[in-house]
Amino acid sequence: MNEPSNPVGDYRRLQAAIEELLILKGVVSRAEIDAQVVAMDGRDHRRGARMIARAWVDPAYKARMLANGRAAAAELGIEVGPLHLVVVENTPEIHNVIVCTLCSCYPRALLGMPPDWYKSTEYRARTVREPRKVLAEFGTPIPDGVTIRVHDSTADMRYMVLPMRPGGTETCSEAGLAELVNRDCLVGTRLPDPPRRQPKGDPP
Amino acid sequence: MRSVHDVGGLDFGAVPLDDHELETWEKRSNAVANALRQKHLATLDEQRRHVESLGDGYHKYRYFERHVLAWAQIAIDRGLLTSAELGRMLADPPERPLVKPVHRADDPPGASASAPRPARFKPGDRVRVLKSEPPGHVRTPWYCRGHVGVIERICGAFPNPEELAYRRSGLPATTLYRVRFRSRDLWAGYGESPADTVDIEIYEHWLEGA
Repeated sequence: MNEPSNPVGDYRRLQAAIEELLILKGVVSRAEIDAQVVAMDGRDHRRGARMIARAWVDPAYKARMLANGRAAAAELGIEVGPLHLVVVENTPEIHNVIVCTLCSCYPRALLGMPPDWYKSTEYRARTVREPRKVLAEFGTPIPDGVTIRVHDSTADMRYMVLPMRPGGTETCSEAGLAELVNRDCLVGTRLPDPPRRQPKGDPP
Repeated sequence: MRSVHDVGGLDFGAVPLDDHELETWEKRSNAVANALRQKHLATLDEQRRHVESLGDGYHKYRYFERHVLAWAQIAIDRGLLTSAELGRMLADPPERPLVKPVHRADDPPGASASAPRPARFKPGDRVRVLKSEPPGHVRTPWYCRGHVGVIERICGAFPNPEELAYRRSGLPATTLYRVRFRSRDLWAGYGESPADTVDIEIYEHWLEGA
């Protein structure tokens, strides 16, 4: 193994040293740090997916969610801390996509930790300037007739996309709909999953 | 000058679509940061300021490498630990490092808040973003400076991040707006739909009527 040229270059050790010192000095406790890790691991996009599925089956909830995302999360018992949430709605005419060109602002309370691509310089630099090309790289072609609204998450708001409900889901339960809501469609880089075929469907 | 983190609109290649499961040290770095912020011992804007000051390292280091370097700087800057203690711990992790009494939390936000100023603009107003290059920690992307857009909504009043990043209160709170720009106004030769837009959150002191 090569020795790091600079001890500070060994980030695992640096992280451990900071944590150890802060605990020894009584600034934070090990239990507090552990609790943060547990809370972080407990948050993922299924929280946002529950809100989307509810909005798809309940127009009044959808209206409340678009007016006040934070209150709509609370309505479903989802604890979001100090999050200021703006929900933006996809329609046949409008496709929304979220980016943070300055760092990695992301609705962590609802979607969990951001994926690497969201934090990549490539995504951050290009999405505001050539959104269709970026979305095509995700396998999400957007026709020229559809307006793209890019949301640059630069300050205190956080964003979630309300995708369009996939076709062929008329008989899906709310829980079944939530399973179609993947993480990336809540950022606008993909669409929801298509419904699985009915187990009792007609023979092919 | 344009800061190293302010990358909107620059030329870069294909988006790397891969992801990785966070490693333990990455999670714990994030957990320590969350804990310190909840105790009002540091702000997110301090983290951003220190990340932005990494210079060439910004593009060289990976996300959580930048993160842990920033929090080392914050801990030293805040007097939560000293550089000497950190050096000693790194060189030879001792059983019981020298412990000195430490820190006082800032007042929680809002405790001494003066009333926010009333909003100058309303939804629908045309505004121009100042074409200015102040040093320091700035949340107004380079690519929109000098451009005209329309107020989409008033987000509310928030402490000024340009002050929070330097351990000041950021009060009185300043009005934050979402401003909608036409993509073809932002980018010369914009090659996609002429109806496309970019919405950006901008604090009032960066805006003037247009």
